[in-house]
Amino acid sequence: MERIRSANFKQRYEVAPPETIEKIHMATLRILERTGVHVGSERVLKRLADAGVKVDLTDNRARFAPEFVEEKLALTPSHFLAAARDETCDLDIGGGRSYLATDGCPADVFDLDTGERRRTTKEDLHKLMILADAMPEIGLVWTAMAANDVPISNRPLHELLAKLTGTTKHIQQNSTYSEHGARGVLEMAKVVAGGAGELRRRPLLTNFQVCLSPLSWEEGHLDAMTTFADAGIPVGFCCMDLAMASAPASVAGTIVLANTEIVSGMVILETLYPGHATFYVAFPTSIDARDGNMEAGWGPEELLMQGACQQLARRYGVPVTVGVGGTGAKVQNWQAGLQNALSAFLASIQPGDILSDAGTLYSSLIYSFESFMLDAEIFGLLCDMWEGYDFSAETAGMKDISEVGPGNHFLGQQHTRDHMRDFWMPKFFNRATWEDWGAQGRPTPQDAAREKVREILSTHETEPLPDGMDEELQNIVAAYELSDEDD
Amino acid sequence: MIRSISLRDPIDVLTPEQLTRVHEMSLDVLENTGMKLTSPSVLKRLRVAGAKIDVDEERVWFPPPMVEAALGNMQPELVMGARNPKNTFVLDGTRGYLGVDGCAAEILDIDTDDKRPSTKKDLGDVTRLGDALDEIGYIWQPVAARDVPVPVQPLHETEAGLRNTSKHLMQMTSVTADQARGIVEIATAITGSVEQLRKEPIISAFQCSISPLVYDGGPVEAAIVYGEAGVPCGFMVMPITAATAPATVAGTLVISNTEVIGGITILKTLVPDAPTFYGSCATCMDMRSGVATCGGPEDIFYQMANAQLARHYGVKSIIGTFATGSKLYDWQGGVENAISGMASCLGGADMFSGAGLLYAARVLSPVEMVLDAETFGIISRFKDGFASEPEDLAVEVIEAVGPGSHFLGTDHTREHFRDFYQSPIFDRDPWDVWEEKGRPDPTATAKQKAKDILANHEPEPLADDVSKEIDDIVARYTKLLVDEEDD
Repeated sequence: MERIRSANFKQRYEVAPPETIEKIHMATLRILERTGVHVGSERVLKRLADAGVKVDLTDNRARFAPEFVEEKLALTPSHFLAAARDETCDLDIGGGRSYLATDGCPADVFDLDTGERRRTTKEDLHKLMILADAMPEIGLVWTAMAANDVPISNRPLHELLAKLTGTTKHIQQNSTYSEHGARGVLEMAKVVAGGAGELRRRPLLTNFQVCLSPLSWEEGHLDAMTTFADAGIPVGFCCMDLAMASAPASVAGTIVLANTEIVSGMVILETLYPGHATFYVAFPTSIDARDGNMEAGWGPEELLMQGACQQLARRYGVPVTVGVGGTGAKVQNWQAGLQNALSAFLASIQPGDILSDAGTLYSSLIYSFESFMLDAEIFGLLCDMWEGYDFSAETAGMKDISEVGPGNHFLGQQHTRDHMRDFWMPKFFNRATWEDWGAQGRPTPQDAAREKVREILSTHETEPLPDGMDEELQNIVAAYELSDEDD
Repeated sequence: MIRSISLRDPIDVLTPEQLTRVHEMSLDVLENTGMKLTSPSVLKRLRVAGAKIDVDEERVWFPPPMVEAALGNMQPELVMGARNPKNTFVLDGTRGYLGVDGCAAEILDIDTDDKRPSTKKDLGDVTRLGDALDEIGYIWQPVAARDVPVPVQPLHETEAGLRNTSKHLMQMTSVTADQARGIVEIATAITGSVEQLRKEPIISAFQCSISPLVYDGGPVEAAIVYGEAGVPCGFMVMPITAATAPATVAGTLVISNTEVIGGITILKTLVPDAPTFYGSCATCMDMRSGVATCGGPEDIFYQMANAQLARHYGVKSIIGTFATGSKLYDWQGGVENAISGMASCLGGADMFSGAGLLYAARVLSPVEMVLDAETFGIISRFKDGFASEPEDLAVEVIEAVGPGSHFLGTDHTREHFRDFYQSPIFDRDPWDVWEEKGRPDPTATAKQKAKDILANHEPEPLADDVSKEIDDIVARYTKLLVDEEDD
């Protein structure tokens, strides 16, 4: 059985015409030249100055000339290898196929047994990784939940360990925001990869750094970025702009800001590490204008922002992560299904290389094992649909149509028996008759998902790390807990 | 004001070769297998027009030139009139419209969430609900009036429909020429003249095939009555993969396309200037329970492929949309209808039928109708795109705020925050507020909205004399079709 389900989404629907995309690009160039971005790391700022960037050391500002930005953007590779412990799970990100990733990184989870909301633990993350390892719809994993029960200083290392022991698929190490953490994470990755050279050749992990909107890159993030880049790890740049709060109260303005932030990150990286692999990660959303609540919702504006950011990334020729899912609903209800399916459908016609967000509720504040399974179901449905179908006369059953003729049925035909299993079978959609469903006490899709979670957790065995490696990694984790003065 | 959806940039799911193949296979079936048609008079008229027939076998075979001639004779636009002219809309390929679907035999009780047989009162109520919702453009009879005599049921349904809405009414249950005549009379009572009815038909109709490849005589004779009166009459097919169609996507598309263009060929051959349209609600059978799927990838593909075929023929389309297979408005209902709505919209369907249906079109729910209208509204706003004037791009605003600040108090935010769509149904409450309220489901808001409308909305009344004339028509046809039959 295939370990990873992916899709070649060939259809294209542009939410914005090319001239609008150009206007946004020009606006980005203008802001980068005149206002620039805050660069919180003096080391990075000095390296940028050495490379000819106009920097202001008094207020940690870097400003980029338009030609300089264009020149650096042209250096980004169009695709890169995201290697996995199981080589059959290696991914060519940007190579034309779309993969689903677990979302992150809520601090709360719905307890699988009680159904109640509580803080996440390292064990929760580990369990989720086992599910991700077993589920073909999942191509790669994020730190989907925070390991709240371990010290902050070496938390990223604990989280990496939970991931490495839970799955052999590619790991996106999204929760590492300090040089200290990045060093520890890399030390572990080198052990698993078989040395620094091997890790560079086959990066078992990728990283991305998040901009503090508007227009600020913090010191820890930048230093983590350079640490990963030094080791040859692809680094993406992410923004999570909130229209009306950390971004303007317009769709176009929020896209301009998001694009400016991500482009600035890529330009910094390409200036310091020419030709280094990177990717575009945009999760713009909005606050509720009625009461200012930060809960994101997938309304029409969010869909437009998602689509336009995809187009911008394609314009720059960089791989892109698109946030699908991430519903604002608090449980798996109509709203959760609608919002996650609207964004997933859009991601299949304005495709991202990585579709992230399987598994979260309440605007990514709460993780849910059941939602994780249900979001995977949506992805599987779309993969099937866009794969297309065969239209030969044989497949169409032209002989059978003529044999059956008007007013009969196809139930007994050999052609029917041959093809009846070609159809998509949902794991969690309820298709029982009304009577059976009623007799069973009206089970919900989430009931079926919960059952599947339990089944996988009790049966799936992830390929273990080689003998002794676990201990070696534990030692590194422990060592980084002691030396936390950097944090 | 009726809300419609932009049909710009439709996506073609079939390659040009696949589309040609489906068309050629359809011609092949029409020529060599033919269709069953249980109307000796229509068969004979078709023979005169050049078709091959067998009256004993009730079979007709269509030479390809006859089909091509019928398909080549389409009006570029279809006027869908309404008894209030402000609700009239024109189908010209640029905007799509949502309709209340039917004709469910059961209704989901708004208070108990249990289903029960529907009545003429339900029909009036649900029509009134559709009348009140801006997103609803036209109305089928949403449920059957199962408490009136069967021979005049369609007349009662039309009467109840016209009394309860001033929007376009689509008649779906007239299956004899007499019934169609009665309905045309009712419509003429409102328009005042047959000429006005022809110019701006306030009703339309469609006839269903019986898959595979059968048209009953009565419905076709009714279509001819409508065609002669200038009332648009389409052909709607509902083949079920692996049951009434072959067990492949290609085979089901051939069956559905053959049946629709077969119906159109009959009508356009006998009434060349008859306005008509292309309808499909093709679906699959779940192999485990035997129920229709309505929401799997194949169903979505059918929606887009049928819309594409209609576009290719230059015929306006009505595509089964929404109508989730789910039994309640839950996660599954949200997922299936989000994807189905996006598919019809991106597939370029002129009319979307299906608002309000659950359980694969077997049960109608007023709450689901409100939810589907909301979904349609969100998709239409998404389809409208976003503005990108300097005010929207907000470069100066971004530059004035600068790194590390926020946009909350800016003039730009105050001026524009209301531009963002705030769904009245999505739950965006903070967790604590939601808990205090007793964790309400977002659909509770839709339920309340449906109840409010049903309690308060009064449709535009018919003039007294028109109302009486309609009563007289129904009484006259009751005498003709029911009483005389009983004698």
